[in-house]
Amino acid sequence: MSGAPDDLTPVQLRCLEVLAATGGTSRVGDLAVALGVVASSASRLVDRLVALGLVSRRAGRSRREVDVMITAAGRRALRRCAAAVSHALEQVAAQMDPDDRRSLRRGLAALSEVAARAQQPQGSLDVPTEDR
Amino acid sequence: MTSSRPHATDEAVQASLLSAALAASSWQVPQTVVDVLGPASGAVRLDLLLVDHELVELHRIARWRVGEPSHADLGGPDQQGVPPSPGREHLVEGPTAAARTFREQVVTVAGTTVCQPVSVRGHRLGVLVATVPGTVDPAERVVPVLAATAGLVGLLLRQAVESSDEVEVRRRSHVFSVAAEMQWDVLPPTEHRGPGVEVAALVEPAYLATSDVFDWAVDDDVLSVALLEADGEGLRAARSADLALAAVRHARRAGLDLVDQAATADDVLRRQGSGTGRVHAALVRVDLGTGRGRMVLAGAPLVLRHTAGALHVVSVPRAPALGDGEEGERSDQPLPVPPRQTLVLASSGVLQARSRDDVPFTLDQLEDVLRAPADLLDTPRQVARAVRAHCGGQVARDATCVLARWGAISRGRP
Repeated sequence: MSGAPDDLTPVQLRCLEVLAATGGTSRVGDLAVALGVVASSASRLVDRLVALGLVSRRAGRSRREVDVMITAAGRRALRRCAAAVSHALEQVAAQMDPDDRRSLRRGLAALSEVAARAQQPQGSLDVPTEDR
Repeated sequence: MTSSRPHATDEAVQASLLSAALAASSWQVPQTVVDVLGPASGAVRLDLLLVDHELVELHRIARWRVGEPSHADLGGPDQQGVPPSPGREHLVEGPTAAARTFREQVVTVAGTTVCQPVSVRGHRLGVLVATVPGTVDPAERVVPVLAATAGLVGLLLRQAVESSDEVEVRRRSHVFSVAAEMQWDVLPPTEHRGPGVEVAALVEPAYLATSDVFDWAVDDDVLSVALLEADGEGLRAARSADLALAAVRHARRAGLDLVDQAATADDVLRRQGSGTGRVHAALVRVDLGTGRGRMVLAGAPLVLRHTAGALHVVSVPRAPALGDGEEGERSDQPLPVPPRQTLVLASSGVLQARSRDDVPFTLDQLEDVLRAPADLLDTPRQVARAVRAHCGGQVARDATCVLARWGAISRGRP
C-alpha cells in the first residue's frame, strides 16, 4: 500500500495502534514487548514519533522507564491511515465478482471469530497484525 | 539605596555576578548565579527554579548551600517547598511560596524562605528561592540583594540559552516535537508590560506547538500584534505558519500597512506552492498616542473585547486567509476595542477544544477565566490551563490566546 498518509512506516503505525489500544499511555518497555522488539529499538521508535509530534514523552527521565502518550495528532494520523486502508480495500473489492465478495466476507468473518477466540486466554493487547 | 548594610553594595554584587557569569561557560550560568548570590545575600541555601514553556512546572536547575562545594546537592531532602530533585515537578498552581511568587510575580517571604521572581523583557523564567538562618531578618539583606540582581539573572539566563542546550533542556517538562522547536525559535517573549501597554500570549500545548504562532512588537507609539494559525497538520502547518509570520514581520519592518503585510504573506505562501497551506491571521496595529487601532482579519481567528467582567465578540469583516487573498479583497478595519479594554485574539483551537464527552470549550468558559481577578499577563496561562482541563489533559489542536491592553492602565484586569 504505497502513498500511506503521513508517510508512517508500518512499525510506526503499529506503535501508534498499540498506544491507542492501551488507553493512550504506555511504558517504553511494555511497548517493546507488545511490538516484539528490543527496548532500545522501541526507544528509538518512540523518539522518532515524538519528533513528529505524534507521541509525547516527559523530559529528563530514563528513556525506558518513562510513560509515552499518543497525542491528538497521533490519533488523527492513525484515523487517516485506517481510512486509507479501508479505501484501498474497498477499491479492490469493488472489482471482484459479487459472489466472490460474499465469500470473502464470510471467510473473513469466520477468520475474525477464530482469531478472537484464540486471543481470549491472553486477554492483553488487541493489536492487529500488519501485512508486509 | 541600602547604605545601612555593612555588606557589598547591590551594584558590587551585580558587578561580581556579571563578571563571574561572563567568565563561565553558558551551560554553567545557572550554577554560577547561585554560587555568587548565595554567599552575597547571606543565605544558607539558594535554589534557582526555571519554569517549563507551558508554565505548568518549575524545575530546580541549580542549588548552592553554605559550606558545601558547588554542584554538591542536587537531590537532597527539602523542607521549604522546593522540588526534591532536578526535573521533578513543582506545580505552578501548587501551594508553595515559590509557586505563588511565580504566579503573582511578587516577592514572597515565608518564615525563613525568600522567593524572588526571575523575569526579564517579557520572559517569565522562574524563581530564586533563598533560605536564611532563623536569626536573620530576610528584609535586611537577602530580599534587597535578590531584588537588585533578578533582572540581571534573567538576562544572563536568556543569553545562556542562546549558546547552550543545558538550560533550555532542563527547564522542559516534555520533549519538544520538531515543529515545536521551530515555533519556539520564532516566537517573541510571551508577555510585555511597558508604559501604557500590556501584551501576553501562550500556545497550548507548548511542547507540541505546530500550527499557531503569535507575534507582537512595541515601538515608541505603535503596538503591533498578530495571531496566525495554519491549516493542516505537522511540519507542513508549522512551516506555513513560520513563512507567513516571516512575511508579516518583513512587511511590517519595511513600513508596509496591514493590508500589504497580508498581501506579502499571500505572495510568499503561493510561491512555496504545494509545500504550504493557508494561514488564518489577525493582524493588529494600535497607535498608542491616540489609543486607536486598525486590524485585518484574514480567516478564522476569533476577535473578542473584554471589559468590566464581560466578554464580547467583536464584529470585524472577515477577509480571505493568507495565501488565498487577491488584490483588493482585504481592507484594514477600525479595531473596535477602545483604550483600557482588553483585546483578546483566540485561535480556532480554543473553541474547537473538546472534552472527552465531545463537548466543546465555550465562550462562557473563556469569559469565566477572564472574569477572575488576575494580572492580564498571567491570563494566557490560565486560559491554557482551563482549555487543557476541559479536554482532560490533551488539547486536540493548538489553542492560542493573545491579550493586549493599552491606554492609561493599572495592573490587574478591568
